Amino acid sequence: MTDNELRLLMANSVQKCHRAVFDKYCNYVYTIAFSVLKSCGSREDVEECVSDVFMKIYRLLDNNTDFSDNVKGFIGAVARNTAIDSFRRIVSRSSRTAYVDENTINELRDDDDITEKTELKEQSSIILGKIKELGDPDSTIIIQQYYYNRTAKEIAKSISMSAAAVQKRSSRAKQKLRILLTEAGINKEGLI
Amino acid sequence: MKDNDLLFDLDDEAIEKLAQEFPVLTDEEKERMYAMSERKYNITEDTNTGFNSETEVSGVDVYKRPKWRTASIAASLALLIGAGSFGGYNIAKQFSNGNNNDPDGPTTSAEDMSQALTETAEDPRTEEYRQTAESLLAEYEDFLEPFDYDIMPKYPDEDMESEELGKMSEEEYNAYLDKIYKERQRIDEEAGQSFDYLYYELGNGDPLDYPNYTFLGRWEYQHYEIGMKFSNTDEVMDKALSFMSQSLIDKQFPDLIGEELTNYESNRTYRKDIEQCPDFGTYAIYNGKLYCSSLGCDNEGNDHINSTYKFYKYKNEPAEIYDITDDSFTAVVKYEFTNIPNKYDMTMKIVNKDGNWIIDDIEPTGPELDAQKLDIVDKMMNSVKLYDKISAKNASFYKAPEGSPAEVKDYSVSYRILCADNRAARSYDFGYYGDGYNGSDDITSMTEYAKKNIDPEHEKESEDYCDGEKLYYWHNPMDLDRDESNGKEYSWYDWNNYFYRDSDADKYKGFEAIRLNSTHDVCYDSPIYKGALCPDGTGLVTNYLYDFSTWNITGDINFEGRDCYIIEGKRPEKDYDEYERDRYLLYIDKETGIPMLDILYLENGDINSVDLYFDVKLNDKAEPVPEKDMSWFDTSLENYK
Repeated sequence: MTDNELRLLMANSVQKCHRAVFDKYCNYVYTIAFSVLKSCGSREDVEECVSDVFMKIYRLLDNNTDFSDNVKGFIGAVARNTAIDSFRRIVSRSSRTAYVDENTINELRDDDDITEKTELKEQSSIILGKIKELGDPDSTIIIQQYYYNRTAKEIAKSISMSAAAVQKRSSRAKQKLRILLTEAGINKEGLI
Repeated sequence: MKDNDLLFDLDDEAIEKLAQEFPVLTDEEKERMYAMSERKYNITEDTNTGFNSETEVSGVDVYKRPKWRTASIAASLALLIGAGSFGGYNIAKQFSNGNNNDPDGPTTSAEDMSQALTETAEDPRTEEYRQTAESLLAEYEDFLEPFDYDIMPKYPDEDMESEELGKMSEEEYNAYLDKIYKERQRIDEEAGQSFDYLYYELGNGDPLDYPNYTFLGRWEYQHYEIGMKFSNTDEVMDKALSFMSQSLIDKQFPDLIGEELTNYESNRTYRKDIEQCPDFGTYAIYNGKLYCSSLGCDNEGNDHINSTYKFYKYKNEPAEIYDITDDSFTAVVKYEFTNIPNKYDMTMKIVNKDGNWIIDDIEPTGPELDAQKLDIVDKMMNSVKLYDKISAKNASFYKAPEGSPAEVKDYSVSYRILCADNRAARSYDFGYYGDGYNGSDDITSMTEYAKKNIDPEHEKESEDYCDGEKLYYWHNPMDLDRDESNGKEYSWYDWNNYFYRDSDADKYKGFEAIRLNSTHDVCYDSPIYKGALCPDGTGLVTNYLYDFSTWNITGDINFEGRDCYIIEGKRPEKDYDEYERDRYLLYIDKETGIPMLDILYLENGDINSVDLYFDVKLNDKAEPVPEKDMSWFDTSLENYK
């Protein structure tokens, strides 16, 4: 999506523009918000955060903000900042602090240990690639179950399978993933 | 960082990839968040206050946070990250050479057994033969289940009602999750001790040389110390021969017993072009142990050995017995298929050999299908074979249903201009969104509007190009390599795996394959469902028309120069969504099966969407597919996006 496109959309209809921006970026924003809040927030908090992000984006659109043709980058930045604000708010307000470990908080600061961080990121990227290798619908099941914490019932609904089939496929995919990860030199024995 | 995160610390690129490739949000969640964001926006607009997340919003239209189950994601994650290796009970689906649709496998010949059934209800042996047929069928069903699932450890049922969960305090809920997690861990460990797993991948070329490597298939085998019904291939064969003939085994399970795998190193890729590869079977011996492979899931999620025909939902009705003689009879067993027209029966030819009754043949048979409907659906499924070249224009109108948070009530209109050469497997199309339409719901007006407003010179918002080998696409242009100096990039994928091509024609039997094998309720069987580069009605068949009882041919019409059938139907209820889109009206081209018009109605009678083609030119009259130089596009692995 470009600045021009946004301007045209806004000129045509504000709501249409909001809808278009939302439809195009909601998964992106949700994933960012989830990645920041998963250690401390509920799914409700994540949804709250996503709606805050879009509310801010709509206001930026009203102000004719120049997105420098990098709408996605801009939205990503707003999403990250908003999610970090939410994170701080959640941590400061509740007993959920118990679930937030030191490292997660460090993540929000400038990280000193660049090497370790890079390694972890590389590993995550490999894991993501291996999950993708499982092929659909197994990869979707694993991501939804392990990353987004969806229940078998919820996953079943989203991919038109029975919950029992999801559970079975998930078990099988888990086996397969374990082997793929071992081949790639990643030991996640305790996780999957 | 928590130790129990599978995917931790994702960088921007990985997050982008995750969002793009594994979108998790349901329509319901999207609508909820969209509504929430609009509401917050309107409130902040109304009250004219700068947004501050700490600000308590007040005013006429106070946003209320929805109340629903709040559970700590962290705690839930802990639940889901189980240890051990439980769950391998469920074996892989058949990979790419898919026996399910094996082109070389036996073909349907329902007429063989469905013909000349002579009812012999008065024969005194009928009841005895019925019992024989039903016990043989039970043997057959039992044989399809390679494990005794009941004796294996299982996860406890964790699906507590959300109402009960909602009453728990955060602490109680976390304790509940913790309890389940520990129980799963224990079961995992227990099951993991008796489980063994092997796989073999087969390909041509170097697996690391993407995209030149051709994946041919993957065979996965599992062995259990407990629960396996047989301990060696002789037992498997003895059991099979105890209730069916060798010819039926060969027909239903062409690769029941595979080569001894002990001499083939497991868990690696074999290059078929340069090394000797095993002959795989459903059962095989490896290091003295029996392994079972190639299981598929049925609609209920149960594992089955794949056979040539899939049968679903055995109806608990007595078998009908025909053609009784001293040493043979025919039994017709009632089955209900889930996504084929009408209901089907399974007809078994049962013979007495050496004093034992065995099943000699099995075939699906059933009531005569409506020949005209069958012809229409067959044309839609095989449309790509019915003409060589096409050029056409397309317009799609969409209106948000009542109740949608989208406030625009005009139709959005998108246009596409396309051409395809089916024989050369080349195609090109581009599309864009035009101005909204607020005219009448009359099809003539909409068509005239589209014809008047479509603009071949319009700026392209999406572009697809297939050069006979690869499909390049460029939707919502993005700067994939983040280098602004070289503009926006195309993506591409290896289309050969996903699209129809002439050389594959024999493998995909179109509607016939769908009719006998596909699994509508679970997922579309991709080897059957082949996309096309030209206007494609196969989705309409697999989504709506597969059940002949839900639609009717209500007339003929000449639409935009093409003679069409008018079809009116109702969506299967299980496919209803929150907006209750339920009826549809189609104009299907009589010659080619192209869906010239597709209107989807809501339950209240409003039109939800209209998809129409016009200016359709076939073969010599079609505009040629333009040549585009894609040599600049780098498809090597390191630059693959």
